[in-house]
Amino acid sequence: MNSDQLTVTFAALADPTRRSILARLARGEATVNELAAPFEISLQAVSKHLKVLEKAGLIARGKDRQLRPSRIQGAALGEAAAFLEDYREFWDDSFDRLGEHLREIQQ
Amino acid sequence: MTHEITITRVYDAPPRLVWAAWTEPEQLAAWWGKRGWTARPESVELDVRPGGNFRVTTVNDDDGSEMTNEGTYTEVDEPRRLAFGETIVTFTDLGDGRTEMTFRTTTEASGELLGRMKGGMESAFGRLDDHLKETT
Repeated sequence: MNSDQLTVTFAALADPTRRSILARLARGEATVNELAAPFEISLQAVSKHLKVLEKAGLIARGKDRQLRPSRIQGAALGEAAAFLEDYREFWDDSFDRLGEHLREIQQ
Repeated sequence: MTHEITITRVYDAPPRLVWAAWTEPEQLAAWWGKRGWTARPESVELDVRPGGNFRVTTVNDDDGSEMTNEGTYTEVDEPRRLAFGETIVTFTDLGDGRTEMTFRTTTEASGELLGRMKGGMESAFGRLDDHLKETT
């Protein structure tokens, strides 16, 4: 995944409604109607969210014109999580080394 | 994403020394980066003032691949608080010669920064060989 795609993925994940939709899809595929049920928003609004998620590579949608069930795509989410884990490790390692450095300069 | 990364460490050194380790190029080069990567002291540029830029290049000890971190300071309050981008580092004097350092950043910033870091590595070397570990 290039950094432009990652930016799109993080932008998609920035919205709480879209994260709720992803959480629902993590339990199995669902249609727009099923996804809209827990939210006080229109089907159109849900469809918009699904488009954003699809563009970010976070979900795939079925070809059936009427139902177009959505299902989660793990790869994009995994890439996003991997970046965060990598970032955390960068700082954890650095701060361990900072401790060693501070010990050395005070000896 | 609204998720934040927060890391807190207590160091056996007063705030002025921890601050110096963050703001003096030769010192920052001694600790900046993952294990297995070494910062080149001559590559470190720290213009420590609001609006000033920092730039650090680290080199992989095994294959010589390079990675550059850069950003802009937004807040400089010696020796208590240093902010750059979406990241804030605070240094609290524990009064007994120790310092509590708190590092806080948002995932948007980290994703963007890492995107650049990874992008640079991939374009130059075609691979990312760092091991990933689980965090939540």
